[in-house]
Amino acid sequence: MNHDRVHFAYNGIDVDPETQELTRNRLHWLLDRLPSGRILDLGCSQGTLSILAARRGDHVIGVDVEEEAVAFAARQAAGLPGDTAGDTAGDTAGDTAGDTGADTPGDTADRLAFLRGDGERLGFPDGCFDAAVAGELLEHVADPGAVLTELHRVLAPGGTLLVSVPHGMMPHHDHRRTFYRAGLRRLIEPLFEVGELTLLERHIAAVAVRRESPLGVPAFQLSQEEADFLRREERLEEQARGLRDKLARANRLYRDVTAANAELKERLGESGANQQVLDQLSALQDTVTRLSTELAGSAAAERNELQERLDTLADDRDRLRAGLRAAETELGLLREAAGAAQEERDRLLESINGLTAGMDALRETADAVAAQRDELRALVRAQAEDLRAAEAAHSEATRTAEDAHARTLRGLHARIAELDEEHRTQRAELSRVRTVYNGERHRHSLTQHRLDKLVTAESKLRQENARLRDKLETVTGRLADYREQVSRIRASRAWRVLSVYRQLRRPGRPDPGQPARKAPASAASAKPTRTIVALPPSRDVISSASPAPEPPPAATAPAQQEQEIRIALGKWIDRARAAAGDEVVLMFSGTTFVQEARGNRPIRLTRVYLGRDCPVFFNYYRWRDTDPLPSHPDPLLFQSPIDLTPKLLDEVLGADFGGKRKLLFASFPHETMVRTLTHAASHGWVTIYDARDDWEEFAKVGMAKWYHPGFERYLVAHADVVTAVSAPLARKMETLGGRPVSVNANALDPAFPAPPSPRRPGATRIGYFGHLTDKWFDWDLVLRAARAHPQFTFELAGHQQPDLRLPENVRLLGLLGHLELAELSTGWALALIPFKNGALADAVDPIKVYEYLHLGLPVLTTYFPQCAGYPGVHVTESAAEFVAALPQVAGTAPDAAGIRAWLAVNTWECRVDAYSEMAERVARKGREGLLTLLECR
Amino acid sequence: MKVLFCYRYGVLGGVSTQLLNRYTHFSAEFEIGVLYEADHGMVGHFPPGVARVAATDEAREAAIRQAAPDVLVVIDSPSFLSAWQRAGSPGSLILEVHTTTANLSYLGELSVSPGHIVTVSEYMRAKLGALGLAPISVVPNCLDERWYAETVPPALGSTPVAWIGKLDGHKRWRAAADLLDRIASARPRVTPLLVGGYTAPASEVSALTTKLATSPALGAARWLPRVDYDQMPALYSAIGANGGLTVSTTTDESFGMSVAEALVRGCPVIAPSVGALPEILPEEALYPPGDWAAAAAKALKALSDRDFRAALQSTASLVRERTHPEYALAAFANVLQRSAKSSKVA
Repeated sequence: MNHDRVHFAYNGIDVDPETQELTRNRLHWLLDRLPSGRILDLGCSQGTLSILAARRGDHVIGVDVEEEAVAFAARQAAGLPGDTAGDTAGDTAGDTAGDTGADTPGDTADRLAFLRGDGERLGFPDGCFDAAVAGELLEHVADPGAVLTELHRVLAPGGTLLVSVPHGMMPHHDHRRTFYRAGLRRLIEPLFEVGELTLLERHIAAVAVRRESPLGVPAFQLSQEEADFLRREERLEEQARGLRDKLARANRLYRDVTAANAELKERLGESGANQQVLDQLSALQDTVTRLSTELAGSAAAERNELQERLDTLADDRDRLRAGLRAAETELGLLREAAGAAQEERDRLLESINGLTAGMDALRETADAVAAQRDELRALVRAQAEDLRAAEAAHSEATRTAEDAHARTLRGLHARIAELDEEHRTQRAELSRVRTVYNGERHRHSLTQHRLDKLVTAESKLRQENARLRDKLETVTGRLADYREQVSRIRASRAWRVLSVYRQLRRPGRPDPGQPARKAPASAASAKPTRTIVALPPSRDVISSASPAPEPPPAATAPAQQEQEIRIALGKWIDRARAAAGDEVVLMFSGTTFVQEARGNRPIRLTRVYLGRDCPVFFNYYRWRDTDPLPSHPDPLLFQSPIDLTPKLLDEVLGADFGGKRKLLFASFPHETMVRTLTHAASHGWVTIYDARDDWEEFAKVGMAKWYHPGFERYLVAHADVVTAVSAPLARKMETLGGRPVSVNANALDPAFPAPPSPRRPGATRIGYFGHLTDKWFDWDLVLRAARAHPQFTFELAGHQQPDLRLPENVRLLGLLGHLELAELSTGWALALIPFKNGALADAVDPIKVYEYLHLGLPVLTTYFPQCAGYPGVHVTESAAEFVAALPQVAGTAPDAAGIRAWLAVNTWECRVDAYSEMAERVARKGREGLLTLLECR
Repeated sequence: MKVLFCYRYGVLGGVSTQLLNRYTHFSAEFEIGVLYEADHGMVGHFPPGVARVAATDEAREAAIRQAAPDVLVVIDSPSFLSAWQRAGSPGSLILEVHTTTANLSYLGELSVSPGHIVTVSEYMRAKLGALGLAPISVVPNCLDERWYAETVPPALGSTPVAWIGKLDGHKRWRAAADLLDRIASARPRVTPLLVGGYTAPASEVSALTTKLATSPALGAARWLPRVDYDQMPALYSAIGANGGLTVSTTTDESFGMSVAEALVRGCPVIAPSVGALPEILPEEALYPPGDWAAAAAKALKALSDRDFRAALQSTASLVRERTHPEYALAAFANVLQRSAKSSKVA
């Protein structure tokens, strides 16, 4: 009996269309992958696949264990009709042949052969087939591994094997095992390399290539997972089968009852009686129907349940299949990688071959080099022999030379010993000479030191001498002036009358009008004081009724002075703190101490501050540190000599002045101010550098020897406020320090005496008071003017004039007090300021200008740019212009009201006000740039 | 325990300030006295009676005799050693060495045997050890509370590059002025700042003011010959906060106090790799001694490179820790107690 009815299924005979389609798909899939050539169709059944392959031109041998099937296939191949559907099979075969365009059925049969045989023992020789098909075979045979081994044997190297088996459980009485994809692969892999493994609906199909070397022995075995899955499938199948049996029994019972019912109906219908029996039968039928319905319902419920479980299992299966597909993909990638690795291996092998060839070449070269080396070794050996011979000869020569050298060395040692002895002797001598020399040098240095001290002392003595000489000149000049005045007085008619009168009243007393025979030296000449001229008491001193000036203090030792001044300073600070004024001033002046006869700028400013009850610490210059400390009636004035001031500054700068604004005036650019300025600023002092003269130009004419340009530039750059007495000097300071500089000019002291009477008209005297040094006083110009204008008399009051022969119309008056000057000025037609043109004069703002104007005099000057705009002042530049202008300006009447108004705003009070405003601005605005750091706390 | 510190002169800043910094903490544990040969405003900063001036040998001898200290600490001032001997060598003697200059030479000719040597850095320990002195302890300089106080730095309107020191060859003020000149020439917004020199000889004052007057780039420079020590913390902070820095040109430093002060106040420092400076400054801040081009290059980089500025200050916290008075007190107390103990045993 032919159990496998593949022919009928392929042709749709007694099978549903679905089964036919599945069968066709499977066979066509196998056919598509079957290579051409010699084909073995093992388990060929009714020979359908064999016939289809033969029709496309292949030589096919079909083998099956079923005799009936082989006979059926042979009949099909021979064109004989089969036992049930031979025509159809032939049509189908023809369709397929037609599809492939192959030859006639007769040719096909020639390429076909069907044999009965056992797949485990094939009678074919080794490697006689190019391809083999085992369609739905392996699930039937007893030992699938043996079948595959036999197929491996009969296939030629590289031959293809196609396999298909049912997928999962497919109940059939002849099926010996169930396959899943992995199980099939495990079975095939030892002998064949699987190229494709796929599901064809309810089957698994594989395409594999024969392995040249088997990996092992093929054997079928389910994995644990597959076995579990199979058991579940079997249980479900068993349940389904039970249900199907129940359903069949119910249907059978229903049919039997229905048949009996029909028979009874027929009998009852014929008799027309016994309705009761019929009713009972009908009830019985209903009961049966109900029972049948219930049974069917129960079966349906169970079927549905089973169907659900089957669906679940199918889902599991699908998941497993998806996993399997992923694994296959992975495997494909691994295969690709293996292919790439194989290529790499081949490439490396090629490379190794190349290297081997290179190595051979190197070996040849090495052999050649070794040969050369051997030659060279032989040569070296020969040369070594030569060298050994030469060395022996050299050793002999060296021995001879060493003997000679040793002899020479002994001689030299003896000589060295002699020289050492000589050297020791000489060193002893040298040491002695050195001692003598050191002594001499020491004496020399002592002498030199003494000499240096003497040189220093000489320099100091020279300076002192020069100073004394200057002083002597001054005193001599003053004495001459006094004598001249005394002579004038004595020569006057009034004096003579007075003398006669005195003589008449007190006869016998010496005549004061006659020169004393040997008058004792006056107090002033015997004991010089700082007051150069004994001034008549000024009006303000009289009016203030101040105590009589104290006698000049005696000179004291510097240390004692320091102690005294420290004590005095403490007291002054207490007074200063309590003072009514709102400012305290540290006036670092380079002038003398404050005294009535002096009217320079620092002293003038100091007086104003004192007048406002503002305490002033006044630094002054003194020649010797033994000079006595000056006294002053104003308790708010503290005067400190420049040699002691630096020792007091810390106390002054750090003192508490009770909230007063603190102003530090650096009135000249001294080193002490350089060291102190910013420190004072950090203690809240507003620092002011007051450029009152062009010190650089003074230094050029031999004055201000202390001047250092770096000091002045430093003060200009670092002071909070910088002022200059003139616009040209301010510009110079601006250039020097790179900052704005204010002009705060000199001014008038309103206390300067006014002329006692109106200026006399038609006066022919021309006046000057002030310094007469030729360092800046232009004597040439004055003498030229005097000679050019003999109608005028030139009266010059002052000191330090040079020794000159003066024309008749030039008179020296000596130093005069302010009152005398005021009185004298009433007879002047003009006041002069005849300084030498130059940078020094450019910077000057002469204080005497203000005083001349205050006296109501027209003023004629040389070139003073600062004074060019002053009222009543005629500034000239050339000597000719000066001389020519003199008679024109002399005797003119200046605009008195205008000048008074101008002077009213040019007083020292105004200057102090200006400083207060500037200090206020600094305090309000704060410092700028890095000087802000001085305010950091 | 009575401890008498002796030093040449009292002036704000430098070694004598160390005594003031220590005083607050030391006086809590010891009876402290200070003796100066001369004073420039330092004595008044101590409580009355603590600090005195002994200007002559006789005065020093009398002062030591009167103080009768348990421990006499003489700091770089050999004149006190002979006075101590004449006074009968009361207590034990500790020599404290800060100087690195020629003043060190007296240590090689000591006629007294100090019980202990104290110095301020490992560099100095090695230097003194090489003279054969022992035992030596390191007590770093310290900063008082003022250095940790908050300040509000003002805006200065330009970037200051500062040099702080005395006007002498040891600190190389001339090289410093030229270095500032070089930096200011390369960076117009920089304002050079020199601090110190109040006690300098007149010749040096003349030379510096001439330099300031004759170099265009130094024309805007500011020289503050004397700044109160109270103001220095705020000054350093202001320099740092305005993007500036300090440069050092010193030839040698036993500790590098002004460098430490700057670091503590957040002011970057560029300094030569000399003396103890490598102990408190990071590698980035150091330049080879005399290599002014390198110094200028580092300073200019510090003016513009924020990361570099941060690197320059990377040792600041370490310096803060080492210069805290408690640190110095602990170290010095240990030395004093050992010294006093050994003296009593003797």
